[in-house]
This record gives sequence, structure tokens and C-alpha cells, in this order.
Amino acid sequence: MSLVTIDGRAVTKQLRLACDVLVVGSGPAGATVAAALAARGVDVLVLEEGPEAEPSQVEASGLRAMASLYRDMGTSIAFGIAPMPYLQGRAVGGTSVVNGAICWNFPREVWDEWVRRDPAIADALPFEALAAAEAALETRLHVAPTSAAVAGAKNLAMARGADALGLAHRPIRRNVDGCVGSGRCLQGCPHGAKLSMDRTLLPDAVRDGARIVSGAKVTRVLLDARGAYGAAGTTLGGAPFEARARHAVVLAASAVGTPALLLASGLADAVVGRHLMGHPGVSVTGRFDEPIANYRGATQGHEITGLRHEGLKPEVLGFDLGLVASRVPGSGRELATRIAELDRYAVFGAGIRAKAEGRVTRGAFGARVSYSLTDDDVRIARRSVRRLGEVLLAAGAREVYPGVPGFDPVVVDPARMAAIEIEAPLDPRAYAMSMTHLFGTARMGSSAESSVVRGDFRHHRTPGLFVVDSSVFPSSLGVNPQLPIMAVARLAADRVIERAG
Amino acid sequence: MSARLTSLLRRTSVLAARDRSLLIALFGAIIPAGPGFPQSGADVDHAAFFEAITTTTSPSFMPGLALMLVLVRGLVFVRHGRPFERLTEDERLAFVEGLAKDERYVVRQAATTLKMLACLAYFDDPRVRARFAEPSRGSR
Repeated sequence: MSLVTIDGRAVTKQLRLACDVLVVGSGPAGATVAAALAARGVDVLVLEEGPEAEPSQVEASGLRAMASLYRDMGTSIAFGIAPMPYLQGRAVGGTSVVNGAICWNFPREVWDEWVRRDPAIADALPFEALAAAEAALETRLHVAPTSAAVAGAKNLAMARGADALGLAHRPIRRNVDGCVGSGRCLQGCPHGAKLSMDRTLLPDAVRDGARIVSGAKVTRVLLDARGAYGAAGTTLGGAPFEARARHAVVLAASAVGTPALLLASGLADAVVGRHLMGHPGVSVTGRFDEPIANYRGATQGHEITGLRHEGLKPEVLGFDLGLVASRVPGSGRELATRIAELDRYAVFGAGIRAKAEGRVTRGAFGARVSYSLTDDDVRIARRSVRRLGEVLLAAGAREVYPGVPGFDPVVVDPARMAAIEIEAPLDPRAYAMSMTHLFGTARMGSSAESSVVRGDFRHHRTPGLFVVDSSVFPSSLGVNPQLPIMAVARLAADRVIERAG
Repeated sequence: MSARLTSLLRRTSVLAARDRSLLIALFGAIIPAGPGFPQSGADVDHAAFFEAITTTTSPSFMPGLALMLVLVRGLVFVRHGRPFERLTEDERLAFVEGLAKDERYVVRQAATTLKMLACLAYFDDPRVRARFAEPSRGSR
């Protein structure tokens, strides 16, 4: 049964809606707030730009899945010294529909950093309250370590490599139930086994009376002298719409979408759009003698935790066939030969807790993201390539392909992998990277000069307007943020409920 | 968004027939057919691919792709004095292999992007995907 009350793709005439609380965005943050409010009897309306992704309808083809469920088909670019794609979902359930279902708890050391920077954060986001919210969410989302039965060869290979190198590692804790290891998390789970927001908190919200409008692109927040009273935009059917909220407007449109909306609504004060942080990632491909089938088994089922002190976290990247093929070396006959035995290749990636800060501004065609790595970030990217290569070789890869111009195209000896830290350039353009997990563009803080929302998630200057997604995070986390984003949003929901009476 | 910008965006979102032909020819050279390998990157149905890239990519993607194709045409002409479509198969293969090894960042990025697009389009074909249902023999 569909979750959606109105599918905006079919709406061709002007639409007017009203509610108590309007939530813009249906990803982990928006879904969490919507479910918590609806459970308390609040009349909630959720607006989502993307479509609903029924498991029976998700595409096996990576191309088609990206076209239907990713913002810009995955071609959104952060411009800078080395332009870098950043990936976001665009569906009912947001990025949770196309992520690897990885769940980490809020890192205590990051929380300590935030409190050192602004002591008021300790009261706004008490660590114990975050931990309690995470515990409840873990139960609802069935979070558990990846079972060896569905891990597949690629995840077991990472475990083997980490063991050989003496690095701490573990099966990734994921929000799945009944996973069969089809390796299709990043295209939307065809079995409905991933407990993304459209399978969990959004159905909870709808059960409690919330309404969801899909295919509704919000372009501005409606404001008058009393503050925010709604949002307006266009349906994907081409009709204008307006949704009015009696008590509050809640923005949960991502660390790119939320500041873009604030800027488009004339709320460009303070640091809106600044301080964009994220987790850029590098990947390395290795060739094994035995079938490893990167595209089968739990999509992302194993990670190395023992390198977080170096600012990086390796994890298996379970790409679809096309993306695996694009990451094996060569072009022409060499590529064709390698594709013929594509099941021998594994792709390991590492997310980096980068120090770089970028910015979201208004461009001619919507949000424009600028972002350039610092020298330290590039150094960690280079080290990540080394570490990934070493793990692949230790796992039994016959050869690995660092993919760094100016360094060996093929490495078979771990000692050569170590040499990359001396011989490879410290130039961001030498490393093929993409970015996920964005933060910080509408920071929470005590000062209206240096932050966008207060400790209670209210916009500093605009009554009735709340921001509840990772935009409010004062920094990146260094770990996969789905669960922390939901925990923070759960605390935000209590503040919104106070406002909604 | 101004009407002028909208109009520019619409124009750059539509790939000319000659650009489509060049892309398909490049895909055929990036993934050529071979023994036990019946379809090249040019031999699959590209309708869904072109539909996807012209309707769902970011506003900067299609203008970027158009510039990339201008770059490729220029490089081919400088090296061979004739268009890519009139090169022999060996010349085409040598050209795409050279692109990927080029030291210039812009050329390398073009090669990476074209390879990714070729792979996405290629594996969109159910016949191609079906070949990977069973383990390979591991020829190397």
C-alpha cells in the first residue's frame, strides 16, 4: 500500500494544503520528526521532492536506479580545485533508500569537541539523551551486525586482510531485516529488507495520521511579520503548490537543500550555507584469483575501525556491475578483458573526516556547492589509498590499482603501497574522490552571529522555523551519520512539540 | 531563473545527433567486443541512457559533457587530422587508451567520465547483465 497521500507527478492544477506542522524532506531527519509528532497527535504534513520507491519497482540496472532515486542521477558536483561529486538520495525516505544501511552511534569524542567549542551544546543535545534516542531507534530499525551468512566473499576478504594486518575490524551494523545479500542497497532494496525510512518511521507516521506529498519541490519558505507560516513550490506535474502550517515549519532537506531553501527565502543572515563539511571518500580496486563478486553479498558489510585515529575508515563498497567496471583499470581491449572476469575484482573504500569547509550558495540553477580539500585532507586521502591497497593485498588480492597519476598503476607488493606516501603527489586532482555525509550549513549555536539555529533548533531570527537535519551539526562526525542524524532529530521533535502545544 | 538561462539550459540539455553518434562510437572503443564478448559498448540499446542523462542529471552536467565532446573532437583532429568516426578500429582503441593515460587533469577527467558513462550504459543492457549471473573462468 502506498505511503503517499498525494503524488505530485499527477498534480497539474494549483494545490493548497494546511497542517499543524509542515516537514520539508522525508529522509532520516524529516521522517524521525514526522513520526514523533504524529505519535503525539500533531497534524503533520511531509513534503518530499522524490518519488516513492516500492521494492517491487526498484531497478536492477544501476543507471536506472540512479536516474530514478538519486538527486541529479548522482552528478551533483562540489566545485573547487578538484571538482567532486556528492551523492544524495531523492525519494520518499531520502538517502536512507539508497545508502548502505550503515549504523554508527554518535561518537563521544565528537560530542566533546562540540561542547568545547560551545558549552551550550551540552544542554541542547545531552549525550545521554542522544544515546537513549539511538537505543530506541536501533530497536525500531532492527540494527544488528551483518551476518556472515549474507556477507559474501568481498566482506569476508576485508576481514581477512584486516586480521592479517592486525587492524581492528568488524561486521558493519546495519538497519536490515531479512537481508539476502543481493548487493543492491545502493539501488534501493528489491526485497524491502533494508529498513529505510519508507519501510519504518514514515509508515509509523502515516499510521498516526501524517500525510506525505511526494513529487513536491519546495522552492521557498513562506514568511510574514510573525515568522514562517508555510512553504511553496512546484509539483513535478508542473503545478504551483502552497502548504500552510499553523504552528511550525521544519526544514529537513539536507545540508545542501536546507541552506539553499533558507537563502532562496531571503534568510541569508549569519552563516547560512557556510561551514559545509563532509566525508570525502577514495576507493581502490584489487584483483583476486578466486571469484569475489563485488556486486553480490551484503552491499557494505564490513569495516575497519582501527584506522579512525588516522582520520579514515575503510569499508567494503558493494557497487553495481557498471560502477565496478568503471573502477577496474584500462580502456579498450584491456578493459574488455577485465570486464570478462569482473567477478574477480573487489572495491574497498575509505571515508575521510576532512577538515575542509565549503559553502552552499545560490547559483543560476539552484544550490551551488563549493568545496576544496585542505593539504591535510589530501595527505589522509593518500594514506587511505595506501591502507586500502595494503588491506586488499593482505586479503589475497594478486594485484591492486591505486589509480593515482604519478604512481605505479599496478602494485603487487605491500612495500610499494607504503611508498605511495612518499612518491604520490599531494595534489587533490590526483585522487578520484566522491563525497557523502554533509554537515554544518545551518549550524546550531548560542550566537546569532556565528550560527543559524538556537539550541532548541529554532531559527535565530524567524519564529516558527526549525532546522532539524545535519545542517545543524557544528562539524562532521567521522562515521556514517544516519543514526546520529535521527537521534538529533528525535530531540528536535520534542522542541517542535513544545511549540505545537 | 531568468528566461535566458532557462533557454540556455534547455539547449544544452539536448544532445545533437552528432554528439550521440560520437558518444556511442567512443563507448564502442572504451568497451570493444572480443572473444566470448559479443556486444561492444556501441552495440547495446542506449535509449534509456540518453533519456537518463538528458532529463535527470544536474544542470551543469550536460554543458560539461558537451565541452568534453568538443575537447575529444579537438584532440582527435590534432592527432589524426580526421574525426573519430573516420578512424580505424585500432586508431579508436589507441585514442581512448591514450586519453586515460594523459597527464593533463582535464583530459584525464574526461576519460574517467566517459568510461563511467560507457559502463553505466553497457550494464543497463539485460543481456550484458545476464552474463554475470555465473562465475567467470578467471582467464588471467
